Amino acid sequence: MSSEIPTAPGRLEFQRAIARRSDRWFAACLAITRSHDLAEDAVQDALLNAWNKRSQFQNGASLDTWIHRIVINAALAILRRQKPGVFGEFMDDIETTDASPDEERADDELERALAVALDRLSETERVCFVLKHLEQWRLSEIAEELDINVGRVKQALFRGVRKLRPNMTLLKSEAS
Amino acid sequence: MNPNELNERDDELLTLYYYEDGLTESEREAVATRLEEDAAFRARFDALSSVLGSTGSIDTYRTTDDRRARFSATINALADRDQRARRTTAGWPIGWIVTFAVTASLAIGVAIGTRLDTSPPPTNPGVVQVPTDDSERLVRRVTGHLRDSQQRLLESGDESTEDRQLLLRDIVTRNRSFVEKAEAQGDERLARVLRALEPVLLALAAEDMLPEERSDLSSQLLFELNVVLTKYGQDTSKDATRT
Repeated sequence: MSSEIPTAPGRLEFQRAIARRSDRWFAACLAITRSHDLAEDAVQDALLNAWNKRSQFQNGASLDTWIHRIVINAALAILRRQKPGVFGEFMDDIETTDASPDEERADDELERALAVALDRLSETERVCFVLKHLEQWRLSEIAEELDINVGRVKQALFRGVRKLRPNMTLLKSEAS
Repeated sequence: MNPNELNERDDELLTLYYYEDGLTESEREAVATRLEEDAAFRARFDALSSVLGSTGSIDTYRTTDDRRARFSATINALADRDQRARRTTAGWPIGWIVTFAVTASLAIGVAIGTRLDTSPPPTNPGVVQVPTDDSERLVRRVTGHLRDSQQRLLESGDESTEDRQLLLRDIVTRNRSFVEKAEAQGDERLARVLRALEPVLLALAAEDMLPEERSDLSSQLLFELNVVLTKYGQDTSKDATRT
């Protein structure tokens, strides 16, 4: 009888995950933080945390996905540190006015339009939209993570979608 | 009916329906029924689905090779750090470590005291003595940094893992700034010993560390702090003898 002793992922497994998925991790952090530097910090923080917690990783699960979740949490933590209480209230009229960091990096017109459109959302709207739409979290998970109630998450999502819609619709009609 | 004339409540329902989240079973059924019966409602949903469906991916973004290399380097540094820590601490009996940690703490206190005592006493109480030399000023600041770090580490026993990691990150950041200052002043030896502290500080931030491992590493850190401070104390004494 052979019994497999579970082992924590090591250097090789982490390096493979970085090769496969670091683009995706970085992109997700960029969508949340809207800053290349902060996105990189988030991925670095996440890698440090993931490495230190690697004994908790369940063999058989996807290391990429496990790290991805840690990456998202790291990006949210950075956003909280940068702007304490950012998710506690709506900032309806506050939109990011800085040039979008990833507009020029986007590979196609629709991606660029999404980058521009995301800049028109408040922090809460953007994060709720990114976590729901791009990361496919449950509304209850988002509420728990941001420490706000589900109703507020819904409202932020509705507002985000409402603001994004004209941009995306216009672009789609131009493309077709 | 023009789809644009539908109200916001309809859009909200359709958004939640699209994401299959946030609606009760009965609400979902009601939306599904209405989608079959109401052409305008259906058209609105199709338009929403089309727009949201087109924003479904951010996979096309690419990070840079430099950045990917830095991610890779982080993992290599962490793996190397753990290997070093295992080699350094293998075989140390726990009881001895605890004893050693306490002894080392006391020694550091003495060393710091020795170092600080080498500065001339204030001639006028209440008047801050300004160091006359950049190098001495730096050493005084470094000893303050080390003493503060030691104190904060000793007090961090009951803190959460996240708090401890923040604390260690802060200490590492300060340590790096002193490394830069030492290098800028040409004090390569001070820079080197400060750099040597960093892997141990980073190792202490590990979440999955057993209490005895943490005690072990703390001992190592205290030992290295002790070496640094004692050496500076000795050198200062020699300098004082020479002059």
